[in-house]
Order: sequence, then structure tokens, then C-alpha cells
Amino acid sequence: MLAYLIKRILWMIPTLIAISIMSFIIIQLPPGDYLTSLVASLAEEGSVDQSTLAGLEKRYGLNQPIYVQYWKWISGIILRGDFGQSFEWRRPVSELIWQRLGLTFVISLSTMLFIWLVSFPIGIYSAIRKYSVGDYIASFVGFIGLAIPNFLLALVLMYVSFKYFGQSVGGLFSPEFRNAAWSFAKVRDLIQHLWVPIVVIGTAGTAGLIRIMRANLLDELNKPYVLTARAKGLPETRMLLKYPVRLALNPFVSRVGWELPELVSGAAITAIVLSLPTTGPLLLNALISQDMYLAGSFILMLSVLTVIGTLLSDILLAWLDPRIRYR
Amino acid sequence: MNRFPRALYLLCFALFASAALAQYQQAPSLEGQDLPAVEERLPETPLVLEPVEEIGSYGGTLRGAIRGPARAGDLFRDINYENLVRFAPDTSGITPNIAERFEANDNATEFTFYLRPGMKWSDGDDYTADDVVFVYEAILTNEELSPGGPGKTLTDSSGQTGTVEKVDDYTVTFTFAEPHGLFLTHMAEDDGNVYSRFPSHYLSQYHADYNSDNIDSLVSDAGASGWVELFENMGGLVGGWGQFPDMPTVTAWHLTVPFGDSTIVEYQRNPYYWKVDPEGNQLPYIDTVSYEVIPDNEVAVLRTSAGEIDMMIGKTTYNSINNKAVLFDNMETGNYRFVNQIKVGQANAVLSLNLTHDDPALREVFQNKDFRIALSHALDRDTVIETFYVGQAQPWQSAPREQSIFYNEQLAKQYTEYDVEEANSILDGIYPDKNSDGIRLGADGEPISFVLLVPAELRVEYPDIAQQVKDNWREVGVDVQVSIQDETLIQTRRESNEYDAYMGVGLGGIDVITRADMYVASNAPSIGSAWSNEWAKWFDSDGASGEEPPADIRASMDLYKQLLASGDQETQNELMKQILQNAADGFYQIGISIDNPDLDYGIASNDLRNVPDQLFNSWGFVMPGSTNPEQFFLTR
Repeated sequence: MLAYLIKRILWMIPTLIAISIMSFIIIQLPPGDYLTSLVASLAEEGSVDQSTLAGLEKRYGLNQPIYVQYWKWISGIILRGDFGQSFEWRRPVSELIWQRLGLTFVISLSTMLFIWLVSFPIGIYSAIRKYSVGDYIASFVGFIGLAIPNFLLALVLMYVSFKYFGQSVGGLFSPEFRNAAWSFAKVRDLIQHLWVPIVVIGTAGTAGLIRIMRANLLDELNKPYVLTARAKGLPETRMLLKYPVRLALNPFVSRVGWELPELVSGAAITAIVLSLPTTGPLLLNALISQDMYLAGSFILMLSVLTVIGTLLSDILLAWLDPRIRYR
Repeated sequence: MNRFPRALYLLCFALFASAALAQYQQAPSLEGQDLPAVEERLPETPLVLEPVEEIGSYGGTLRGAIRGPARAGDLFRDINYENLVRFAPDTSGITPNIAERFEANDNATEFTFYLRPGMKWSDGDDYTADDVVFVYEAILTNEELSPGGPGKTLTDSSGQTGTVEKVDDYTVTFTFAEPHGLFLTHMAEDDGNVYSRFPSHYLSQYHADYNSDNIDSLVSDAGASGWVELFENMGGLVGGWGQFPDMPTVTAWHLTVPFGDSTIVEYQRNPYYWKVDPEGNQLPYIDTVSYEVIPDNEVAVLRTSAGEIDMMIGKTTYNSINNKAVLFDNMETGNYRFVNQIKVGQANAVLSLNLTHDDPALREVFQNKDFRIALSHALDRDTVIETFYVGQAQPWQSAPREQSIFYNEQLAKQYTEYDVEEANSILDGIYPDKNSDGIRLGADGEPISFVLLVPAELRVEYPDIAQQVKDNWREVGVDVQVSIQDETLIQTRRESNEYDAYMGVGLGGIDVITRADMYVASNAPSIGSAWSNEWAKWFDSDGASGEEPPADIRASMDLYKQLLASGDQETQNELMKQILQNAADGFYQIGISIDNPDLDYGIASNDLRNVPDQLFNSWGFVMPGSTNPEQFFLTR
């Protein structure tokens, strides 16, 4: 196990280097840079004075060759833990991302819990009571959740919330609580607002997991060992949970690794539509305005988390399922 | 007998003093704070602002919406517009603001501003001529902070930099070698804001020339890479609105919660604000201005419908045509009204053929005026108006609005009739031969075919309009491919003259002189100079680069040069009218339609008063700042 771990970690290093180069190149691919996009966005209204632009370009080093810029960036990260400065926000990148991570985690974790808590029981039920009314209803709702795009569902729920519940929509807090200190009332307000993002992000997720759970469990339930266990008199529920369900969990566990970057990027589209102060909208804005260091650092961070997450899920899987051999 | 007159004097003095003491009032929210008395906080002669409707009442929080730090310019337009001079609310002229009065000499080479003794920054320090000179010496002419040059306010018509001198503590003079005709206009625009945005007493400590002792320790403490970066992080030379709560200001409200900390940006009343209303109440009336950061337009529309946003005027963000119906339906629930806005732009879409194209065949075709006339007649403008502007527009070329003093009927309405036969007959006269697909052959025998660049994000309706343009022109035998690209990419193409035709917004409907690049070749690469790219470069560089234009284009350039060198508004207007007539005769661009003046709208809560019923939608005239938001008040 240890040798496996060390080998995997060693492989991570060249992977991460390649990823950092790729993410930097991708950020630089659109023509122009932050300043050009700034000028273009102002083109209609007024123009940024050409002389000011030339000054900024020189100061930000935006007219230097790409490998120089890359080296400046990567050496800052490795040597000083400095992810660079965001042009648009004029603050260190690390500060910007850090501020939003807290709430992002809250939303992502609660959504994940929601998804698992809802989809496991329903998936198991669907499998045991195959083709029953309950199964059909669950599948139907599941497919609808899968078919409707997240952002559309978010907009509809927001409208419903505004029109029929008179709630203040969008964002995570009502205006009174936005800057207030944490209190019981503020937590309650947060929960009142949280249901829309959780339901939106959750429905698509539960739909998928229910179907997967159902399919896997059905596969297992047909196997001879289940028949044997029943014949031997093992109570149904205990038998179910200890054997087939455990095997049906394989695909979930292998996906857990990718939950990690999901946690951080926080369902970007939904967050943008709902104006949530999470990291997703931050990344989108950075990409649109070509805020080089913010976007690059963000993508690098997500990639690192994906790589680590994959490793974690591989280990988890190996621990869960003794049939898997280390290679 | 001697004591009587003395007593009388004392009595008079006491009466006068008490009257003087009772002369100014301050907001109730400032009571009990540890501040000097209001008379001491105001300058000797505060600016007296006449309210639009009535004297207002103190208090309240004004709620606005902003998309994000990329749109920080909206904060400038709304509540941070305090220059030495400013535009009148109806854009008719330039009025004193921070400067109590100003003088210009006859040939626009010397301008003097008289400041207000006793006027203070938001931290109580005095605003004096030293602050203006500091901006000139330490920032605009400093090689490291402004390596691109000092900007439009200090560059005269010959390209030389002027000088700024302090005459006394409250008088400052700008001097130029050659006339600088548009100086006052630039001082009233966003460019002129620098002179009142950077307090010398706060920023000089971050400047290497003024604080050579411990600048290095400050730099390393902040983790900056040099004093220039430190200065930029403390002051924000370009568009740093809403990011520097520690920097003192002279605006009506002072930043307390900057971008990034949460989802709001908040401003609180500035107790040292230097304007009063006619009854002596210190402005502003409103205590707090709070912007919610809403990146998504749909959420903003929902919030407005729910009555959670009080103000969105003077600009177009989510208050666009396609949202007008929804917002109209919810006016009662949301308790708001529409404010009539007039766009200062002109045509909704202007088609610019690159008259300076590198390919000689296309160049010859484009430069043929009859070709352009034919293309203009081939456009079905009525269908565009019905489909995209709900019938609320009229056919228009690239020309100033009817409401502008520069309105030129020939330029606005020539060749706007939809007449395919006429177009075909004109084209038959110049390029009669066609190939097997029906595409006309140009001068070199090749089919006339070019690419129309359409910016992806400028207007939602552009890609569809472009399709119709393509169909219309195909009908008369001209082949066009539509390419929808990002504005950033188009900008790069303009810089290298690698484009055939461009569809952009019509600028300069009311602000004609500042947008002269639509009518006279200048200011490359911009939306306005898309028709004249290389000639505009020739004008900008004084002949060093670009291509020398033909005589008629040069005639307009000469007129424009005279305009820039003239200090007299009347002369400038006359010259501009001549330029416009040249543009009418030359017919350089093809416009499609122009909005009716009552199509654009702003949103104001019914609780918000002293908002004019009609204003302009303009960045150049700094709307809504020019309508004096400091005298807005809330009735709730």
C-alpha cells in the first residue's frame, strides 16, 4: 500500500507541472489581454485614454513574452505561495479565493449531503420494488430533474419564490443580514435562502445517482450469493445493506474523488444565476475579463484538487473492494 | 454716551453671529459624532445647489445595483462625479463645481481655476491648490506612474504637455504652448476627475519622490513589488472606484465597504461635503448609498420588480428594451417609476466599410460612393425596426439626433428609402457583370465578397440584424459573410487593419464634438474610426504612420484641427457643422435606424425625489452624476 501511495504521489508532480502550463496557455489563448478586454468593454461608453493604457501595460508586464509571464507566476507560487495579483479586484488572488471558500463549502457540502441522503434510499427502494408505482414515480421525477437545465430550474424557482412566497430572491442573505454579525436569525435567513440552490443543484444530482444506484443494485440482486443468503435465512434488510448495497457503492466511491473540485467550484452556472457569493462566478468573471493570475491560479487549484481527489478515491476504492489489485 | 454705540455694535454682532451660526444645518445622523461644527466643516463659500423639485429631508439608504468591479465606472457616474468643473444637467454647457469660478483666455492657452477656501477632504484636511499641483507633478508627469503620457487634459492640440502652476493656496493655472480647445470639456469628463481624486496628504507617503525615507519599508510591509505597485494599490490610477475605503475624498458619500468583502459596496455620508441647498442644509440628504453586486441581469430585474432597487438611471445595464415590458408590469408591486432617458448615441447599428482596405480591388469598390448608396437603398430598414425595436425607431444614417444642435437632415435621412430596383440600377451602372451565382464582379473581375464583423456582446440584436443585412445585399448581387466575434478580437483586427466591414453602435448623437471620430477620420482604432482606419492613424500620428487621405477627407481633418485649437464654443460648433456637411456629402457610413427618444428608460423608486423627469443616457456627459444625485432624497 505504501509503495503504491508513494508511486502515485511521485507521478502527481509531472502531471501538475503539465497542468499548470496548460492552464496558463489556455488563459492566454484569447486574443489580447486584460487591458484589451477592458478597452473593449469601455469601447462604447468612453475610451480609456491610450496613454494610461500604455502605462498599465508596461506596469503589468503584459507585453512580455509568454514564458516570462509564466515563470513569474509559477515561481511566485512555488517560492512564496504568492498566487499573484488580480487586475480587476486589485487584491492578492489568494485573499479573493479564500474569502469565498467558506460559503462555497457550505453550499457544496449541504448539496452533497442532500443528494446522498435523498438518492440512496430512493435508489434502493427503486431496485427492490422494481416496476412498482413508487419506482415509476421516482424515475419520472428523476428524469425531469436531469432533463431541465440547472439554470432554467434556478430561474423558475426564483420567480416562484418571488411571485408566490414574496421572498427576497438571489444571493444568500436578505438585505438586512448581509453585513450583520452572525446570529441565530442570520442562520435562519441563510437556511431560508439556501433551499433554492440546494434544490436546483440537488435535483440533477439525485436523478443521476438514483438511476445508477438502481441499476447497480439490480445487477447485484440477481447474483447467486443473494439467493444463498436468503436461503440461509439472513434477514432481508440486513442482508441487503451488508452485501449488495456495499458492492453497488463502487461507482459512487470512484466518483468521490471528483467531488473535491466540485466542492470548490461550486456549480458555477447555478451560482451565477442565483448571484451567490461563491467561487464559481469569480472564475467566470476572471475568464471573461482575462484577469490572468486569478483565472490561472483558480484553474490550477481546481486541477490540483482533482488530481488529489482521484488519488483519494483510488485508495478508498481499494480499501472498500478487496478485489482491486494495486498496479 | 460712548457705551451706547458700543452696546449697539455688540448687539448687532451677537445677532449677526447667531444668524450666522444658524445659517447652516447638518444631517441628524451626524449629531453626537465627534465633529467640528458644520460651519467649520463647510468652505467659506459652499456651492449652493438648487433642488430639482423641492428641499429634501435627511436620512435613508439608497439601494442600487452593480454588476461587479469591471463596471466600477458606474460608481463614478452615480455618486463620485466631483471634478473642478462639471456638465450642466441638460448638457448645455460647463458649470463650476469644485472651482468656484474659472477663466479662460481668448486663444485657449491659459485657464485659471479659483478654488474654495475652507473646503476639506473627507478626513478634515484642506483641499488646496497643492492637491491639484500634486496630481500634475507626482502622477500625470511622473514617468513611472504615467508612462503613456499625461492624458487628454494636459495635451494641447499640438501634442505638447501643458503646465500647472499654483498662484496661491486657492488659485491654480493651466498653461499650454498651443491652444487646447477641448480643455474644459475634458476637465468636465472622466479624464478631469484626477485633479480631485488623489489627496496629496494621503498619497505622498506612498510616492518615492515625496517619501524617500521609509518608502522601502512600506513597500516590503505591503508585499508589493515596488513603490509603483504600492501606489497603485493605495490609490488606483485607473478606475479604482469602490476599492479604496481609506483614501479621503471630496465626494458626497465616502466608501466604507469596498468590493470583495461581501456582496455589497457601501458608501456613507461625507461630513465634510462642501455643498448646501438654498436653505443652508448641508448636502447630501441621503445617509447611505448601498450597491448590491448582482452579476446576473435576470436577478437584477427580479429584485427591481420586488422593489429592492431604488435607482438605475443615466445608463443601460439591465434596463434594456427587452426587459421594459416586465419592469412595466411590476411597477406597482415594486413601487417605482420610469424616468425618461435619451440616449446620446445615434443610430442603433452603423455599417462601416473599411475605406482604407489593403486589397486594392475591395478598396476601389468600397470607396465608390455610388456603391455605398446602392447598398444603403438595398436595406429593408422597416423590417429591422418592426422586428428588433418594436416599431419604436425610424430609419437613420450615421448622424446626430434631431435633438442635437448639430442635426443635419441630409446626413441623417439621405438614401434611407428601401428601393431594391434603384439599388440594382445603380449597381448595374458601375458593376454590371455577374458570375453564375448572381454575384457582381468587381473592378478586377472577381466577385464582390467580403466579411462583415459583428461584435458578439455589444447589442443582443446585432447577429440577427447582420443576417438580414446579408440577405438584403445578396439580393442586389453583393456577397457578405457574417462573422460574429468578440469585441476584443475585433479590436486587435482594427489595430492591424485586417478587416473588411464592421457593424457597430452609432456614437455621437448628442455628444458630437467629443465623438467626432464618427464623422472625421481620427482616433484609431475605435468604433468611430472603423470606416477610416488607416487615415485616422495618419491623423493621430501627424503623418508618421497610416496612410495619407484624399483631399476631401483631409479637408475635414483640417477643420477638425482648427476646432481643437479654438477656445471659443461658437467657433467650435460652426466648424463641427461644416465637418458634418462634408460627411453628408461624402456619405462614408451606412446607418440603419435610430431609437425614438422615449424608448429608453431609467428606473427610480417612487420614494426617490429630486430626480429630473428626463435625462440623458451617456458616459461622456457622466450621467446620472450631472443631475446632482447629492440633492436626491428619500421620502420613506
